Amino acid sequence: MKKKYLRLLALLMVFGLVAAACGDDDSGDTASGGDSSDDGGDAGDELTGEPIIIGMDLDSTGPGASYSTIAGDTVKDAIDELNENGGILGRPVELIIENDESDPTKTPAVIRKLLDQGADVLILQTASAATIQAKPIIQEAGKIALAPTSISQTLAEAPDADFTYVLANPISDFIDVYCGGYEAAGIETLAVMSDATTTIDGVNQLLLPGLEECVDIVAEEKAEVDAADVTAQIARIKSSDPDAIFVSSVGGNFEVVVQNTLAQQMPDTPRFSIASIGNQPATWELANPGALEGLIFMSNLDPTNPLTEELVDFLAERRGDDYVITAYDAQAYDTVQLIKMAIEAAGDVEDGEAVRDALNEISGYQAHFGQTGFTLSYSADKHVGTDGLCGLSLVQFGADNTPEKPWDTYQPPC
Amino acid sequence: MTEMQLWLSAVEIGFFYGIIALAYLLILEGAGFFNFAIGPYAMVAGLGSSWLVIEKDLPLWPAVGLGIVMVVVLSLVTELLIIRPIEKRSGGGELPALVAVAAVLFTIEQAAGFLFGRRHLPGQLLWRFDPLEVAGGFVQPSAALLFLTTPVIFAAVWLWLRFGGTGRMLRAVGDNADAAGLLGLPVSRIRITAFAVGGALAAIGGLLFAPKAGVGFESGLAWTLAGFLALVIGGTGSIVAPLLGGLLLGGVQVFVPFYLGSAAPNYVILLIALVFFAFKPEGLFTRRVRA
Amino acid sequence: MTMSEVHDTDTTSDPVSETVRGQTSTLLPLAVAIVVGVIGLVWVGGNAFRQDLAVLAATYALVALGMYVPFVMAGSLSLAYSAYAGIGAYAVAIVSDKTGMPLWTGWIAGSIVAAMVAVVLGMATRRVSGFYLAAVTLLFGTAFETWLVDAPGITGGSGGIGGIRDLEFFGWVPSRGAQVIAATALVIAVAFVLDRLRQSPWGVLVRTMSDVPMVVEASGSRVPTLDIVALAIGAMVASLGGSLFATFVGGVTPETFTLSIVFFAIFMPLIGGLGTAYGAVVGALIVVELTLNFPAVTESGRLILAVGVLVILLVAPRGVLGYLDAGRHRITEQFGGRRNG
Repeated sequence: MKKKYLRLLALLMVFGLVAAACGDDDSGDTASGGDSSDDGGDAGDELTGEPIIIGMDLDSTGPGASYSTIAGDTVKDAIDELNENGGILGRPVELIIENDESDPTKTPAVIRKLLDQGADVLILQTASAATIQAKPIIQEAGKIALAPTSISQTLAEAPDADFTYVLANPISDFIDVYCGGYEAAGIETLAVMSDATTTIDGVNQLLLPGLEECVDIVAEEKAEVDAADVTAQIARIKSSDPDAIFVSSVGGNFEVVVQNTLAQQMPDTPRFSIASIGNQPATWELANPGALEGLIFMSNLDPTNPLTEELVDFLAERRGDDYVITAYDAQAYDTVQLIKMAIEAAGDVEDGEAVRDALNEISGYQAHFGQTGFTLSYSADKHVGTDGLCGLSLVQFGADNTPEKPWDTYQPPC
Repeated sequence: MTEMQLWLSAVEIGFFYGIIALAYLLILEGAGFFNFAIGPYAMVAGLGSSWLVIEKDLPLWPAVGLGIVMVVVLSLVTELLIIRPIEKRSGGGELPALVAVAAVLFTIEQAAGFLFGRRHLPGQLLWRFDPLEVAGGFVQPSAALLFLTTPVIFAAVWLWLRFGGTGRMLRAVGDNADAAGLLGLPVSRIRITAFAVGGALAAIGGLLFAPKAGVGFESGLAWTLAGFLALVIGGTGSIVAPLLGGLLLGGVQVFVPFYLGSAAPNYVILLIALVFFAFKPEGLFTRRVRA
Repeated sequence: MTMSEVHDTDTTSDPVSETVRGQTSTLLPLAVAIVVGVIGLVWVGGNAFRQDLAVLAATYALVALGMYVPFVMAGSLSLAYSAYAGIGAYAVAIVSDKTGMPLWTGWIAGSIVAAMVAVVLGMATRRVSGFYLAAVTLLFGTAFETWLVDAPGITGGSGGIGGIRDLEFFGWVPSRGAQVIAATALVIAVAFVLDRLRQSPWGVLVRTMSDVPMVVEASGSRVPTLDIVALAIGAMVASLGGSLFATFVGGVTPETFTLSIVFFAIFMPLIGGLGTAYGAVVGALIVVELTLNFPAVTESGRLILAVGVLVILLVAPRGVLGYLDAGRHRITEQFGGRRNG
């Protein structure tokens, strides 16, 4: 008898867990990998005509999920906004999403699936290596594809790049900005600490040779992205006695562990980071009190840019006042606006080449990221949108573990 | 001094692995079975309690208590609803239970990702003070708590196994469940106790270690492997063997990358596993008399 | 005791009688598999996405069949199947990248290397329980993934190896459509061979050994050797899956075959049913559908899958095919049809 009760009790608990899980489903903020159920909002009933379909390859569960989901959510909100304001060409906009988990071997199937479902335009919110696998398929399909947050210029370079576009400053621009900063601060030797993800390995292959033009890299250490302890790596870095440390990671917990350890072990050595940590407000609270103080990271946001301020208001309205904006939000928002402009200029979406030609005509678009007045322009042979370095700035963390102010020593020329 | 910091890290990791290995040992003694779901148990305690505090605004201690309760329940569910019926049907065959526990491991991971979210959460600090400086190394509050608690846990479990009624029977069952049954020992109750205590230990380990580097829904698998290895290296012969195994493994994880570079630990640990499994599967510390 | 025996206790699991009727009991499933395969190919047609899906399903099916061999025939659980598939894929990529040899030599080289790894891991744990094999194979999978990123000279590092040459047989380059047909045929052929193997004297011996090791020992075969042969065959089949995928997609990266495929590999034979090798194929189709193609659940697909497997283990140990088969028997009996056991 007693055994039966125990079983019953356990069974009830399992059901309780399942019920709780189901009840919680809606509150999850990650994008669902579903399709047309996730259309562009309820305002569609005012809009008539065949919907314009935007297909997004969104890594919502893979290694790129920490940044991709931020951009993905803003793409959704921006499309909702479009639909509330008359859609594109008076037609509703529908968003379909598939997830390739940043796995380059899955990407072709995911892109084909999106095209199969009638996508007129593609958004590639996944790892750079994955987007590159999509190039030949996009070329063949003849539909424009924009990568909101990609910093790899390879996507926008031949071969097979007639329809692929990027928005953010590419890595070659990062090198110019870092080198400018190192020179201004008198930094001659640099130690590099990376995570062992394939994404960062790929970034480093482009970035580090460039940095070696202006500094000596005296130590290169890495650790697993889920490492609980990096004391050994930091000890090796410490023994190489660098002028500064550069952390190259996808951010998240890894960067926090590294910064915690660095703050403790090498408190007086200047620390630089790539864009990840500055764009992940959720990770700041993971760091030990004061552990991020002084850290300088590559930012794509200038809070005084009036367009950025507008976007902050827009996001606050949708997500609540305490939402912290990131560059990924701004780049995702601009992606949707560029798509709208191109389709409207082309007058129709059926002819992919006409849409592409219209996108190539866009010039001087005022971006919602970068310093005030920063613009994006495209042409037949310029598929990287950024006009100059002032899409970037170097920002320093304050004692409260939040970005405090632009770095005094150096800012990219505008 | 850098070297001191390395030693402190090694001991911190080692103590955690030791607690996980001890949880393995108790379930092994009580049920004759390596419970590979122990790593995910520890993850659920760490991630679940953080989720309750951060997302559900629960005060710290109720959240921690709920975290432990959740894991004990999970551990009992594993035994009563899954392992026991399957072992019963298979007549004690090893493979079905092994497959079932692999499925449990994966299920807990995915369910945690679904319930608590897929992002890393910081572990909850149970005790707040400024980092201590010890001989040039820094001790974070979470590490200090782990340093203090681990010996207490091992002492308590030792006392329980030595003097507690159920504890003493545990070893008898572990040696030979059939014989223990014939002798009239309450085998079923002892198994349940082993799973409950083992689950609670894993939960405490997870809670103590989570503040070091946060915890995510996929943290559990690595802990499962580390705890198992610590137990195999240490051996099942004595209660401190898992702790020594854990410390050895902690040392490997810290000093191998220091001397040999970052990719080395994965290779070295595979090598250690191969060597121990092939040549010394009974571990470093074995009981002298064994049925 | 092997999984199949555990789960089949209420059906026909007497190895000897199975051997006797082996001839007929392998041909009927083969015919059904071919019919289903043809229907599948018609559905795929020339649709590029469905072709991708079909090849992915074939890849998963081969990995599941690889898991099936030691799983059901020897009672061993190896968890290095991500690495075995990776070895097959990288072998093809390296042959394409570094040598002028035809691509299919990579398929063979990959399965040989995978088999050797399986033998070494099996030998190291032959004296201890299956839990040790599970642990050491998982550790191998982790170390292998690290090495793929760590040895750019051989593996192309984090970017992997892309631009794999087209498959070519003495001047003939099969189209995508032809490759999909060939992949389907390969899966059916492997499933057929494994099913025959299961019912062959060797298969019976291997399965008996898990039940009564003493008997087999006395008859002259050393138990661990048989077990290790089963592990090696499993690794070879899984490696073929990796080779197939890399050949079709034209590239491979360290993240192509990750740990999650290991869990899928355990689940697929269970879902389909352990009574026959075709169960692994059915399981693969269900897993691909749930995790990739079924839009509502891709996010929670893995959770549904995991819970589903637990339920299958507990209440439906014969899997999907086992139940279909039981249903068929019941119907034939009802209508007075004659069947033998």
